[in-house]
Formats: sequence, C-alpha cells, structure tokens
Amino acid sequence: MEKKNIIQFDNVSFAYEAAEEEAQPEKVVDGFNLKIPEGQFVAVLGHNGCGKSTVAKLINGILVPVSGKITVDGIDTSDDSRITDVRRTVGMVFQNPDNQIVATIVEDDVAFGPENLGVEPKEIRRRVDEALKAVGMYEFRDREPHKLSGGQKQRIAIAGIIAMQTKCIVMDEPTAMLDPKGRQEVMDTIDMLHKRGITVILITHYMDEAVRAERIIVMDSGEIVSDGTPKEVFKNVEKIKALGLDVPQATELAYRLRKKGMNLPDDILDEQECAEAILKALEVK
Amino acid sequence: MPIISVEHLTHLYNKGTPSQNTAIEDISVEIEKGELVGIIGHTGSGKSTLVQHLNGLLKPDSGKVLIDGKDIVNDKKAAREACFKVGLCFQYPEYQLFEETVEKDIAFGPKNMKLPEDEIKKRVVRAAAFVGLKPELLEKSPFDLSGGEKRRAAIAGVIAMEPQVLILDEPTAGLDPSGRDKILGMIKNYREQTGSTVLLVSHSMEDIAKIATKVLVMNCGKIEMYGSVDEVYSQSGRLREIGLNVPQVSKIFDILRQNGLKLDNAYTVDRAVELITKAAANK
Amino acid sequence: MIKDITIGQYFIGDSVLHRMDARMKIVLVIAYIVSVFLCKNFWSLGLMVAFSAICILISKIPFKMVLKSLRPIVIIVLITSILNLFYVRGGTALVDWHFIHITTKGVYTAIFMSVRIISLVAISSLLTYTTTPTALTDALERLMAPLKLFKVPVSTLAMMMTLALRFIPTLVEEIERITNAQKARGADISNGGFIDRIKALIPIIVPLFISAIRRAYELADAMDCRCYTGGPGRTRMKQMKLNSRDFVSAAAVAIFIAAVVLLNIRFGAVLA
Repeated sequence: MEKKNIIQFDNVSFAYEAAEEEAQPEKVVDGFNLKIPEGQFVAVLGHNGCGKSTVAKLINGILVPVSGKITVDGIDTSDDSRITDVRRTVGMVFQNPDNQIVATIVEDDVAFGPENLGVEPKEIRRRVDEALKAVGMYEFRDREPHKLSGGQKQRIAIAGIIAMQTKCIVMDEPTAMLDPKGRQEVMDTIDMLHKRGITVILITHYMDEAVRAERIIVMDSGEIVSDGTPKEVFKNVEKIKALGLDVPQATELAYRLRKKGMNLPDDILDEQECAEAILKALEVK
Repeated sequence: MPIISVEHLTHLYNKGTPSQNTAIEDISVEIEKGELVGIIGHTGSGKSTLVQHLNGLLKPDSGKVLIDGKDIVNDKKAAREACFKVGLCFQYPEYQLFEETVEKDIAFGPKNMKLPEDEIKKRVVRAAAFVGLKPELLEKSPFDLSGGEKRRAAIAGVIAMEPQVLILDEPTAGLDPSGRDKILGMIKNYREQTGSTVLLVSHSMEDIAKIATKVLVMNCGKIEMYGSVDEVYSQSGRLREIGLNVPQVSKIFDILRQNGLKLDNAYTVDRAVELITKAAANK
Repeated sequence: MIKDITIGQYFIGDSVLHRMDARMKIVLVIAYIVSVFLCKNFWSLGLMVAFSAICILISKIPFKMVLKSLRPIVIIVLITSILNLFYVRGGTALVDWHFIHITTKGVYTAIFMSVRIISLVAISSLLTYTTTPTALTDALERLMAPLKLFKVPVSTLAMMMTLALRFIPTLVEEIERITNAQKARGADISNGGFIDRIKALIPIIVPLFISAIRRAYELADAMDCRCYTGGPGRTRMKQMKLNSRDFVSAAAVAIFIAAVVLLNIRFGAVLA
C-alpha cells in the first residue's frame, strides 16, 4: 500500500505584497505542485531567492497561498480555525539559532511548545527529558542557552519540536550559520529524526547534506526543476551547475573525467564509489 | 621584511577572574607580503583572537605584533595607523551597514582616515568596482540590496581603506554556492591586481584549496601548521585528528594511492582531473 | 569573554534560601520590609538587625557580596542621616551653637533611618542573589495571577520579561560585535566632546536597531510555529509547590514580626 501524503501542494500560487502601491506583486511561486509521503527525508536545494524559504513558510501556515490549496495531514492550512492543528503536525527549525529560543533555561525552552498546547505538566516533563536525551543535550538541561554553541542551540530547537510530537519537521537552512562540528551534530540529529519515522524537509545549500536525503527537490524561480533520488538529481551535473549550485566533488570529478573519455558510471556520489570506478577504469584492480 | 610579524603572542580571556582562559599562547609567525593565507581551525581554536591582534583591536598579554616592521602594541601612533593598514572584515559584515546610501557607507572608513573629498570619491568607486557592485547601486539604501550585494557592499567598505593587509573572517558564511564563488573570485582578483596581502579565515578546506597560497592551521590556541597548501593538506591524518576535514577529492586520492596508484596530491577538482588524465595517458 | 555574562545577580548556591519557593520569598521579603518600619525602639531595631544577619549567614552569600549591593546607597544613607540629624527637632538638645541644633530625636531618627535603609536593601538583594531571574519572573507571574480578573495581561507581561532576559546577552554580544566592526573601519568612539560622542554612536545604534527588529520578526514566527497564542489554555511544566521548608520560613518571619511588635509594646517608642 502506498503511504499517504503528509504534505500536498495543489496548484499553489503565492506573492508577497508589493512595497509600492502601483507595483504588481511578484509571484514567488506559481502553480506549484508537490506531494511528500509520510516519513520521507527530503532535501530542497536552490540558490538564494528561488522560493524555497517561501515554500517552507507555506507548509506550516506562516504564509497562506493566494490561490490553490495546501494540505498538511489532510488539514487545509488556510483554515484559520485549524492553524494550531497544522502546527501540531509540522514543526519548524530556522536558520538563526538565537532567534528561536525563547526561554532562559534549556529545558524551559524545550517545554515551550507542549506548554502552549496545554499538555499536562507531568507529561511535559516526560517529553522534555525524552527529547533532550534524543538530541544528546540532556546534561545541558539547566544551562543558559546563550552560553551554548550554535550546533547545541540548534539541537535544543529540534528538541523543542520533538517534544511537540509533530509528524513532520521543516528546517530552513539549519546549518548555514554553524561551523563544521555544529553542522555534523545537526546532520546526525536529522538522521535520528528520520529513523524515528518523522518526515524531514531540509532546506540547504550544502550538497554533502543533500546527498544524505532520500529525495532531492531542486528549485529555481519558484518552480521545481529537478526531483528525484540524490543519484538521479546529481547525474545532471551541467543542469545543476547552470542553476548556480554545486555537486559533490566526487560527482564533479567523475563527470569531468567522463568528458575526457574515461569510462565511469554517471551516478557517483561518494569518494569510495568514485575511487573504485577510477581504479576500475584504469584497470588497476 | 615580512609584512606581518607576530612574536610570542599570548592572550588571555577574563584575566584575573575564575573563568580566565588562554585564547592564544606563545604564537610566532611571519607572513610575507602578497601572500593569500588561508587560516583554518575549529571554533575556539584562537583564529579570531589572532586576527584581531593584527589591527590592534585586541591587546596581547605578552608578545609583539609588527606590521610593516612597526610595533603596534607599544607605539601609539603605529597602533592607530595599523587600524588602516590592516583592514579587518568581520563575519556577517552586512550587519555593520548603517548609512543612508551605499556610497556613504563605503566612504565611512576613508572618512575616518581624514582623506580629501575627491580621494574618498575615487576610492569608493574603485572599491565598488572590485566587489562587483554596479555604479547605480551606490545611490541606493544599503538595506534595499539583496543579501549577497549587502555582503559585497560591506566588504567594499573595508577595501576602500586600501589596506596593505586585508583580513576576511568567513566572508562566504551563509551564502549560496554562486554567491560564495563570486566572493572568492573577487578576493583572488583583488590580491592579484593590488598586490595586497590577504588573510582568509574559513571553515571550508575546499575554498582555501582553491585560492590560498599558504595555509595556517590553528588548534587549541597554537599554530599547528603553517606552509603551502600541499605541505598542509598532505597531512590529512593529523588534520582529521584536530577535527578538520580534508576536501573530498583528497580523500579519493588517498584511496587511489592505497590501491597502488602512483599519484601526486590533489586538493581541487581541477588538479585531480589533470593528474588522473595524465595517469590514464601513461597507461 | 562577553558570552559568559550572567544576567541579574544570581549567586549560585544550595542554601535553604536558594531552595525556597520564589513566591514565598517575595511574600516574606515584603512582610520583612513592613516589619522594618514597625521597629520603634532600640530593642526591636536590634532584633531586626540580628534577624537580617542570620538570614545572610543562612544564605551563605559572602559578606563581601552583600556589602557590594550596599555601595550604590551609601550616598542616600549619608544624606538622609545628615538631614535628619540637623533638621529633626525634639527631645533634649545636645548641641546648640549658632545655627547648628542637634537634638536626641534627630540622632535617633538618623540612626533608625540608616539602619532601616541598609537592612532593606541588604535583604532585597538577598532575594536576587538567591533566586534566578527566571524563577523570579515565574513567581511574579503566579503571584499576580489574580490580577487577570481585572484584565491585566499578566502572562503576556511575564512572557515579555522572559524574552527580555533571554535576549539581553544576545544583544550585548551584538553590540560588541558591531562596535568592533566599526572600530576596524577607524571609528573613534572614545574621544571627542559630547556631541562628537553621540554622533560616533550612530554607526553602532543603527545596525543594532535593524538587527533587533529582524530578530523580533524571526522570533515572532518561531513562537507562532510553536503554537504560542498568548491566550488561555497554556500549561506549565514546572509546578511551583510549597513544602515544609517554606512553611517553616514563613513561621520564622511571623515570629520575628510578632517579637518586633511585642518589644515595641514592652519598651515603648523612641520615635513618636
């Protein structure tokens, strides 16, 4: 049986209000369609201003479409009376870790979501402890967030969403402001979420993060220009580069050697695959 | 004579309080004129502390900093000059923009140098051209620019001071790949055309491999390595030990060599393509 | 580094006072302040000083810290003492020379006022030394909960307070960052006259405001996403519960106040 779609965009258009009155509002997305089955780990790629952040905000109702329909677990996001249900289903993690932490103590911040949902105090305690353990921040529960590293703050933000028990998490460039160690911590946390069966939508600039997903969506000018498994998407090196994006170095190396006439497969993503293919082509093995 | 010379530099944080800790300890290094030095090291390794000493923003607890042969720690006049000789552009520099127009903002540094009006004008135009800002943008408010343009306008504000040494702290942080490539290209051009010394602090080993002439690796407040890209990147084992990751291509080359392929080192895709094609031709 | 700053003046510790319920602490401090002004003779005043000293000892806050909290009020204490000394008339005249008149009542008033102000500040700072700003905010929110009946937005005010506490370190860090960036562009912040200095602050204040506004927008989105509505139906993870420690403390303060009143009755008032 096919899994049901937790997120569905049907012919969605959206435009920000124009700054000047005479100006035509420019459509950021137009006639956008997307289906994301429950439990999938999706990476969204695209250069700045391609509309990917807008899509993220549309998913949990921070923005509502001008036309078309978005449903989250069957709930229409433009239905004002059900907005809390939408946000109970889809949590969001933002780019700047500082601007999403609301409390002065780590565990209070994680409790913020469940408190807003009116969960029983004892149950909140249980969820907060569990969420902090899941992201590996339990020992930091009574620290002050401003004394933590960027990666740790992002894990706190993720724990805050886990404690709300959402089925889906949308992350808008959660690693953009982090150092390599922080990025690694967050990526490991994302893998953990995926293993728990939570739907993950990761917006990123980093190709090495995108290859960890099950599916990659590439956006440009508010449209999906490529959609498939990492292997399928990165196969098309020229197209990706033309969009101002990177491919993993292994993919690029293989691609350029292939153009020089070497016999290499076209779906290489990691260093092991790449090295083995080169060895085979050079008949060392 | 090296343009930057650091001798036995030590800096402590929160000196005299219980939380006192050493940010950098007994660092000595000389940087020659015209180099493009990539500075790498994980957060807290002391790289930001080091670069803030080079323009006199931080004062050392012991040791000396010589810029162009002048001691900027003890000599007050040299210290004030160092601020203009060594241009420091911080992380996310777009958050320092404040003027009504891009032009005025870029002119802020030169104005503080008390340069004549017409010289300031010339420098603003030159700096804007270096970072690739179109002339018509100069009249705009800096807050109406796109993210990448803001970043470049802010860098122009430092370049307009025409420093002998330009230090950039993570200039590509948070940008998309095309924005990143634009900034890297601009830095490379700037060095080639002006002959200035450039220090580039970055987390990205790939970016540094692409443009640096030398690499300085910091770890736990000390200099771990300082040498050419090849000298540093070939020690991938040690780099990994201190929490740094070598580019994917060099990992590929490590595997190729382990399997008996005789190859030189490669840290960029360009170089890798060249070497492998050569190896294939020799078969 | 600036990152290590701690807001408020909480002094980490594990004394009985640290562990007391913050609500009870606030109520008892208020009761104590009232009792300070009940002291009418040297017996009750002495008892009050002794009681305050015991509280400081129990808190295990170094005496130096308590003195530090008194520093800002030294001037106020001096001025009130001098004014009382010279202007309060009554009782026996001690000095009567040209324009200087000092009376016993003047001396007593000066002593009483100084001791009262000092005790009051010492004990209030004990409250902030032993209670985290977060716990204080929570306690105030709950103590003021009845005001909700009069449409006072208590929860919203408390949320604002928490957010302010949360963002002060972030903004302090930001000020440092922007100041450094402008200094690197040759901005001269510490020299020049008053007007020059104000002008020199513009390159710091403008970016700070812009960044604060940007943060506010992002924070608002983040709070929306976590279902914050500001309305009713919100629960709290941490329930405040009074336990025996709090009741014993309350009893101690009650006995203290009763003793003050009894001493006043027994020995009469020095001050009318």
